[in-house]
Amino acid sequence: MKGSSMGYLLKTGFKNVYMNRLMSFASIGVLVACLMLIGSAILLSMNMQVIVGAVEDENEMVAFLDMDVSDDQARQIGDEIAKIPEIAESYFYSSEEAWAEEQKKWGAASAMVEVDVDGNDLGPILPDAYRIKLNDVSQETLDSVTNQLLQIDGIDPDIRTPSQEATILSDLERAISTVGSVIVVILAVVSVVIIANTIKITIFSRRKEISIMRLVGATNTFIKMPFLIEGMIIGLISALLAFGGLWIAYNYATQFIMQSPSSWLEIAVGKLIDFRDIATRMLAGFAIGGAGLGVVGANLFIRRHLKV
Amino acid sequence: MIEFTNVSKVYENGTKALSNLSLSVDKGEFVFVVGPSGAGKSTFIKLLLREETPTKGIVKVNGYNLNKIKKRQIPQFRRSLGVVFQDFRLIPQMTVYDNVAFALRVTNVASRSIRQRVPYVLGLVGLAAKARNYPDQLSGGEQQRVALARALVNNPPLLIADEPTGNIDPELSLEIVELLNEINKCGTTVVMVTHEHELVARFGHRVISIDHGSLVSDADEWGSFYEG
Ligand SMILES: Nc1ncnc2c1ncn2[C@@H]1O[C@H](COP(=O)(O)OP(=O)(O)O)[C@@H](O)[C@H]1O
Ligand SMILES: [Mg+2]
Repeated sequence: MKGSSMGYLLKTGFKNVYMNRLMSFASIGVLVACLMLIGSAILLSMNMQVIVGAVEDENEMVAFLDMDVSDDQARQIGDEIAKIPEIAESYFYSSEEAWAEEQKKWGAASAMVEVDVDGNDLGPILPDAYRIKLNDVSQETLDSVTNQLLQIDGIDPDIRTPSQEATILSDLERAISTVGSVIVVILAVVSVVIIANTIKITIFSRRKEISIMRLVGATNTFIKMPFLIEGMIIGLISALLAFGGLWIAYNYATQFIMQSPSSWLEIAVGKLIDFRDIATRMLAGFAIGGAGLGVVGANLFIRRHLKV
Repeated sequence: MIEFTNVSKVYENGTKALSNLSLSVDKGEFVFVVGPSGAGKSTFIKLLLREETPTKGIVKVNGYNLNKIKKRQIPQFRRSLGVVFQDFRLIPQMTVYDNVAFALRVTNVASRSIRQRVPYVLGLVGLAAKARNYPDQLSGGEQQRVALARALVNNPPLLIADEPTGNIDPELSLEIVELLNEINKCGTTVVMVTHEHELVARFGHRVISIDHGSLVSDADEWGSFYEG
């Protein structure tokens, strides 16, 4: 395609947006709202992931073995544990390691050693254990894993599980991700429909030109192009506006969270994502998303109604 | 240049617009197609442009077999034709210049040749002075000349006109046909549909007469048609 044609197509695309400005304005408005909501859903879910990730790091399940378990048995128990599907990884944590860690925590003088009446050292009282990392720390997974662990012979019924906060956060994160995905899909569909309708109006107002274009031998690609460009321009403008809007809104929201001294929010403070860190990715995502929605929307109508 | 072989056209609603029409037009000819309203003249034109496909028979135009042409070849084929209609089909939001340039812009022609070609054809149809006007500032005759300039701007070997004088005052109609005549003298094949017999009689060209979708006569000029 020659430069002059590309220039012509771009110009026509922009002209379409301008000539049809009322509808363009309306669809940009709706699209900005959709993109901002999509962005909020993504930001919320990203933040939740970071927070939950941080909490999860400090939270693992520990399954203590009965004191009388032999090394061989311990190995077998390890194999059994590894078979549980919800477990990401598990590793053996010997009584000696536990002891070393305890000493580091409490100092060498700690009395975590069983002594007999004569003061003879009988060795550490800490049992061997398996430390277990889960795929997620939702209550459901915890219950399921706990039940499965209890089936295994040689495991102390007193299994240490992650804190309640972690489970709640994790469940919340999953809910937000799910609801967020649904919202994103619905809004994407709405955006596509809105753009398709805007393009429809432009096509109707230009049907005379289109028929002349056919008559003088313009190719189908050429006939379609200005409308695809129109969709793309609407998408890109919306993406830029939504990006700016989201940035401002996000900064307000994080400031608000940091100023409100609510207890569970405290976990979040300091871990919240700084918008600047993700601005480039966000902008790129918005631009691609906006332009993509625009082109898909335009194409939706073109394919059905331009009969090219 | 144009070859119709046993062509019939039945529209989807069952209207029989053409039946078993056979004719051919050679390069460099000027042909009038006449016949009463509803005779099938426009259907003939639509088949020529491949806006419609024949129900039966073979249509060949400018070396393309329109029965076999692929969809993506149609634009290329259309660029080998110039067309004007009774209703001009100009774009009201564009100036005369842009209306003509439009045909080149949408077919990938370089800006430099557009800048040369458009003033040239506007001069040819005598509208160089009106390049910046809009269609609604022109008379019917002038508007049709703009349409003619647009049809000619990419120098097609075949010019097709469907009742080009239908919306124009008689004196101005004559001007249009004279213009077509000049274009024909420069080597362009011209097919003009009309039902204005006086116009046809003035020019000594071949006349194809259609009625009820069938060829009634095909004469070298109006006189022989009239007598025969
Ligand atoms: N698209 C169409 N669908 C159905 N019937 C049509 C269509 N176009 C034309 N006709 C019918 O075909 C016949 C021939 O029409 P047309 O070729 O336009 O005649 P003319 O141009 O000689 O007046 C008429 O009866 C007309 O009503
Ligand atoms: Mg007609």
